[in-house]
Amino acid sequence: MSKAKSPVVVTVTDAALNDIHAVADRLAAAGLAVDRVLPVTGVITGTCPAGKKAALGAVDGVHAVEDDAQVQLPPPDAESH
Amino acid sequence: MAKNKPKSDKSDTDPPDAPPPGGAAGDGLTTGRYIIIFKDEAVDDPAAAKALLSDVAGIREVGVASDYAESAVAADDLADAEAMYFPTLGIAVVSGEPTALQAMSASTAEADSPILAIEPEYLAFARHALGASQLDYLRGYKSAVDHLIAQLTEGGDSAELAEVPAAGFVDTPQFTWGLQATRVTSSRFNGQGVKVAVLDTGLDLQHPDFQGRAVVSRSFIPGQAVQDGNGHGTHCIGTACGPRQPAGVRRYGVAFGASIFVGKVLSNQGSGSTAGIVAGIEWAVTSGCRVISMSLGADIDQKLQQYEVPIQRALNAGSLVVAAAGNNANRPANPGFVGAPANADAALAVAALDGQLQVARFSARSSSITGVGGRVNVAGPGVGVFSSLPVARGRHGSLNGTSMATPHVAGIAALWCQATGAIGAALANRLLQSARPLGQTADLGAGLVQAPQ
Repeated sequence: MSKAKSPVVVTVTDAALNDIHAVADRLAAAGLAVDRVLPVTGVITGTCPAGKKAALGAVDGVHAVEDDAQVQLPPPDAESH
Repeated sequence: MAKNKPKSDKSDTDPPDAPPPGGAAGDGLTTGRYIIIFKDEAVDDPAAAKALLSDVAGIREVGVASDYAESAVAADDLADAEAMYFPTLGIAVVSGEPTALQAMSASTAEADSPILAIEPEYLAFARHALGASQLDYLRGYKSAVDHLIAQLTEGGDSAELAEVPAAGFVDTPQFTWGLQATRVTSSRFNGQGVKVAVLDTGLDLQHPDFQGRAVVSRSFIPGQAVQDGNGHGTHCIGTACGPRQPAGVRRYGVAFGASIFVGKVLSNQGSGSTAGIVAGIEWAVTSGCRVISMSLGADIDQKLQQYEVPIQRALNAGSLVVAAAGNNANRPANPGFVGAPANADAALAVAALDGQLQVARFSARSSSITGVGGRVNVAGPGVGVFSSLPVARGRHGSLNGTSMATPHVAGIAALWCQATGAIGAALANRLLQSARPLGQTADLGAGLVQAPQ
């Protein structure tokens, strides 16, 4: 599984917000398979090999790189939702 | 916002209050100065306010705060002038003899007086430094001011509270208990003109209760259509935006006039990821949604930048994210904690109440780890919540959860947006300041959300 890619969420800095597509290009060059670029909220999502996260974090304009947090609703017959 | 206008039967007969006798300095609570509060219609005319202070009260040295750089008035400036007028606030701080000010009150007793009230200037203390008696005094003062504001404000206010029945709020043939407890049933507002996004498992687009409604939808789940194959989303949308008169069942929806934006960010199996959720937030913001309801989350007691940053930017853009606090409590033994994304600083975290207005057994308490963002901000009805379900699951039914409390708050946010025009942080403030206080702030925040009347 070492070559498996996992989903990551990259937030960009306020300063880089107007230039988010350039940040996405730099992230792609650093190993991120870019899925979505969200210019208003300043988020870039995609997948990368586990070992590439630190390199992504060093890209100019990046605020943070985190593993995508999964959410799961309880089953429909659960006591609370 | 409704303009503060004195009721005509009051301003015709009652002069502005003379400075209270307790206003003299030396009691440790007041400064010896007085605050003159001008009426709204007088605020736009600083020259007239200045002339009034000069001509009637004999005050010659009137400073105007806007004459100073960025309206920053130093204490020295205040001390030099006999009066300082703050045009943006419509108030003046005056050093004068009480007798002179009483003359001013008397001479401006006519209905067209530009003065609303004259009050002693109080010293402000850091809360922990106050003794009990001082606190009681200030609480009494605050109560009086609140009462005054309630008297002077027309509409858009929720000063009254629904009486809690002895057996608690219960569903009636007309209304769910939640709509009664939040005073939605008597509200003049319906969310008309406000776009509300519900990011969840989608909507049963064939549901009879939503036929004829303005619905915009998009799926962020690869390979799945917006059509709700789970039920959670249809229930949440029903509470936030359900119809005024659903056929055959009681009313359960808050903002029946709002435009519904359905973002499917959770699969029919109930699972989702930040990538889809944030894409849904971006879509809602760019679509002009003023409220984004998110009955979803993970039991993670730490700040996640992937929610912190985009939710803050959404708020800055005028879109308020309302998020479920979480159901990870098992009271009384385990009070749980506010999870992500409700623990983002800019998100409103919503707790769940039952019909007795008691915190639900499962409703998460403010986190002791994640600081300001991890606090419960407000509470909504979240036990025995009747709403829509997909036709295949019986059309309607009751569920429990902070997921059910959240769309109550989201729908009521749309009502406040319609009533006041407030968006973003100002809209959040409206919700919090109008909530029904219930104590237990770590569990319930500002209390039970209330609709504008």
